[in-house]
Amino acid sequence: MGPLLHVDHLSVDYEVGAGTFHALRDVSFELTPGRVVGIVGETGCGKSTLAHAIPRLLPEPPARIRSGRVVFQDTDLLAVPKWKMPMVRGTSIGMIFQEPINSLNPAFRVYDQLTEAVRIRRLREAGLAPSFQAPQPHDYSKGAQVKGSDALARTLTPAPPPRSFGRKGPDPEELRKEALEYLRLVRINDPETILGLYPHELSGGMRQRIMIAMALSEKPSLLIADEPTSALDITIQAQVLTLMKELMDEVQTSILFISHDLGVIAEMADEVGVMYAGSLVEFGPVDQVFESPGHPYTKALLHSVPNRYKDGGPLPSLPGSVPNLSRLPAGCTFAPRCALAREKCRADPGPALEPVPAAPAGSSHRSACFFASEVPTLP
Amino acid sequence: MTAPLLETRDLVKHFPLSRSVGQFLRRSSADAIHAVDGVSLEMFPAETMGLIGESGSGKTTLGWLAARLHEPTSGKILFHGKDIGEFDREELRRWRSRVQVVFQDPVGSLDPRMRVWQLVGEPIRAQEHGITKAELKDRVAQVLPMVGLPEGSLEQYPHEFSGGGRQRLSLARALSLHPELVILDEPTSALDVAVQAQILNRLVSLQKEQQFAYLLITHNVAAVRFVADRVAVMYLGKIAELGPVRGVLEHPVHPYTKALLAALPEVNVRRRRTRYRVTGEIPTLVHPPPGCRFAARCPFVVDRCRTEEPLLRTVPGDAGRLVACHRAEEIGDVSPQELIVQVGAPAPPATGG
Repeated sequence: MGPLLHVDHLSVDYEVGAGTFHALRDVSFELTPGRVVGIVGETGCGKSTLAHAIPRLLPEPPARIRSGRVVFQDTDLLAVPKWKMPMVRGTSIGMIFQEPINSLNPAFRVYDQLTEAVRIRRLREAGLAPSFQAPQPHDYSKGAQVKGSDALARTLTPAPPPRSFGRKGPDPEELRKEALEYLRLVRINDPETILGLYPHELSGGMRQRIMIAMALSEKPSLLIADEPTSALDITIQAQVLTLMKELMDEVQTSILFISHDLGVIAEMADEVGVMYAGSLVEFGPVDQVFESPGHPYTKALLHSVPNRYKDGGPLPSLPGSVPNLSRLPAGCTFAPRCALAREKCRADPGPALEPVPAAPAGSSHRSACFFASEVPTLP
Repeated sequence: MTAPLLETRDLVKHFPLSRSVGQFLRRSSADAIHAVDGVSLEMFPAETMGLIGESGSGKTTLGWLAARLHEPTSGKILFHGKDIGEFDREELRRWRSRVQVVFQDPVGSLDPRMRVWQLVGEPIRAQEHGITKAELKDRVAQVLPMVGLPEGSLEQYPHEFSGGGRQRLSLARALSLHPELVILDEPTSALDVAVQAQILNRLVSLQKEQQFAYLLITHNVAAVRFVADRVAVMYLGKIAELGPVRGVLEHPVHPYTKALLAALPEVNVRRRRTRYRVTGEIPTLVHPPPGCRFAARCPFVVDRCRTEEPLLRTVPGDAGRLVACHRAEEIGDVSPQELIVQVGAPAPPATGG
């Protein structure tokens, strides 16, 4: 069995009036089923662009996918026609966004929003609604136009099974029961009451749990969580993270977890990718990356976490700031701020991810630095 | 011991809610949000007091009260022993130059249509009427290097700066009058770790040079550890624990402080895979529960906690520490790590002693 998700040399640009911003450059990584891959980086490094590019939620234009493939369950999602993408979303790839209040519809009760997800999954399972199938029977290359008439004539699903649901779809009573189950799954007390409430009547932690319940109720093979706890308080964040870890085993999903918080990534992820200025500079098992980083940026990032008292001297901090994504330097993007930078780094755009010399044999720990062997010598 | 710079005495701030129809008909008074409920604390010159707590704990309201941006419902604020509530207009204007605030959102607190010299010079102009433009620019140019901004940026607009740069601008504006007390309301929460480290370093070195007192309001425990001398932990409008930063963060006594520290995500990968034991959410501030406000979530709760409100008191053996907990003596030695259960590994042995 291959990887669940294989992002292969993905590059995304934003073309706006001020110029072309290279938000993602040659990002490649794999996610094996049942694992959590964390993506960490500073603001503007392309984390969220990556999260939205996988289920193709980027607005195009201004975004433009320049090159690469996103292979999900052996199908290149970038080659799937756009009108088919809603079939992928939800049941195959679920998403949890940063601000739960922005993702819940304020005009509908929790019941309506949660059962909508359950109903869609049930219809898809019963073959009454079109669903994503892998592998795709036809190769729709991105350039080829799909004729409207053609699309309508083509059967999207296997022959419909006997109509067990009748015309109206699943039984509302069953939907309600299932929605309650998912609310219990995310440890909500008194789910009956919660179902009848509107999003504004809930606290932030509660809302995020509803979002998790919604995402899980579609039983996605891949869950993309884009900063799911950044808007929450520390104690509530700890509860939600604990919950997500417990639910991983219960519903058997894989998670792509995106966060700017190194601590959260350390607790959640099995493997971590570190992003800087749109490219993945390091990727590997989380303990190896955090304990013996193979890229100077990772090391600097880990060192700037305040972990000492005032009398312990100043915090080590990175000089300079993140480069402008529309005017990237010629060589390695990190070279202007890097203590190890030499002539080679300023001229050559830097190597692709290569195995870190210090990593144990067979490890997936890779970094994009010419001088990875010298990183441990940095202060 | 030196005289305190700022002292609050039983400070209370309630935000009234509008009356419901039922309350109107029954002629009962409106409910109120008990944002700050009886806070007494002292700050000394050139000291950093960290104020930590979750959202809704009233820490920002307390900061605003100290700058007199809110009027207290009851209680007093003394600055160098003088009640700032009794200042007249002129005294208040002069006092404002000695207390300055840096707000959380560097985008919202900087007027996008003002240039750097206007923004940073605005407090100077408010204090010194009739200052000429050239003099003002001169003064601003002296302030900018203090926060690490180039002098040449006088004519720029805020949008030309990055997030860290804007926060430096806010800081420059607050420091332009060389105040005695700077109230920092979440100064780094909108910033990335690398930029946060730069700003925190700058804050500490400025304090060493210029002897500012900081009131640092944040939910970021790591920032408080690095900047503060003493720390106050707030929960639901009250101070739960107060003491020297090293003591409070290494040997927390109050159960809420322990819970807060146990909930911190840990960068050290050896300690991950954990299950967090404190459950429940922050109760509403409209009808705060009687007794201890943390009782509903506290793992050490006893019956007395639900009825009798614990007062802030010193703990035997630790003079600088104030704790509001009935069971402070019994649970003082429980470490925050014991609120975390290792998943797939036996629970760590109780350290005790």
